[in-house]
Amino acid sequence: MPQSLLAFLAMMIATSSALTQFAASNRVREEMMKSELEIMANAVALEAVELQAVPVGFDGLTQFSRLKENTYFTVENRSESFRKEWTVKYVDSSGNESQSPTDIREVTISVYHSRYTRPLVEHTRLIGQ
Amino acid sequence: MISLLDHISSTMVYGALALVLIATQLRAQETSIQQTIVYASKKQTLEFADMVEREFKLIGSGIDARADMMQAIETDEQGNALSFSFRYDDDAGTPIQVEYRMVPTDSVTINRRSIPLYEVQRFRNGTRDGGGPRTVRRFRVQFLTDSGTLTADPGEAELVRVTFTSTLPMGDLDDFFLPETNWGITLRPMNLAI
Repeated sequence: MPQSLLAFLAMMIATSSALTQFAASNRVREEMMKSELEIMANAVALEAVELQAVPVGFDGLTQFSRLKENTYFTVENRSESFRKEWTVKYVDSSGNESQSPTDIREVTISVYHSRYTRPLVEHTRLIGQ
Repeated sequence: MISLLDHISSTMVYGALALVLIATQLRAQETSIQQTIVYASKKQTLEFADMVEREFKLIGSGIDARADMMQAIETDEQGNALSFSFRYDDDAGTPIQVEYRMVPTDSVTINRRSIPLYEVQRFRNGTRDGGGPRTVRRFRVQFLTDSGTLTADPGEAELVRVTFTSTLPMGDLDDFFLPETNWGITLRPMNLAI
């Protein structure tokens, strides 16, 4: 009887060790995947700011306020889908948010991926009048 | 008889435990090796990306004539930038001619397909001066107009989009969870808008 209990205990320890290792390995893979997606999200954010926000200038930024849109990072024939969310607000010369209109607008783009609830990348640009 | 059964059962338990522990250990080792290789590769890739980002922003800096700022991109059938050159003046006003050139290095097998690899070499005033990792699978430079339309004419370009894919530098890539890293950026070099 004692031998059986000891054998059972040993099996439990080995199984627990294997499961812990499996979970650790999955965490590493998840981190690798997230870092890869962050690099792509960064490319998406920078391109959106340069191609969409900068050309419209100070006055045109209003159209981006609270705008949400889907976009893709495409490599050859593969695409990864992301969601962009824009925030536009007035800031003063010190960069603090202002409730009244100023000559500087801060445009922030947050890029999300369906695997995560928080944005992978947030990019902010100040655009003056 | 009881003693014999005890021996047999203890041997079976020992064997099962040993197998579980060996498998766990091997998996841990494999994960650790993959993590190290991926980290090293990503570090190399991001260092190259950082250099590209900082230098491409300077395109045309201090140059008056638009036609002298950059040359048309020489591409292969897949759209890879075999050669891309541009000019800018450094802080002291010295003209710098830079060329990024894709040079074949090796090939790798991913999903049972043989894929050629390249090194993106950087030349500064005609002399080799740094570059990227030797495992670049794809390096693309594209000119965009202000509206985001692709153009081949460097005279019309206001933005430059750079994307590249690099593979891991070692190991059987089919065994890796993520055998490649993709990086991209779209820049608006200040002087192209003038």
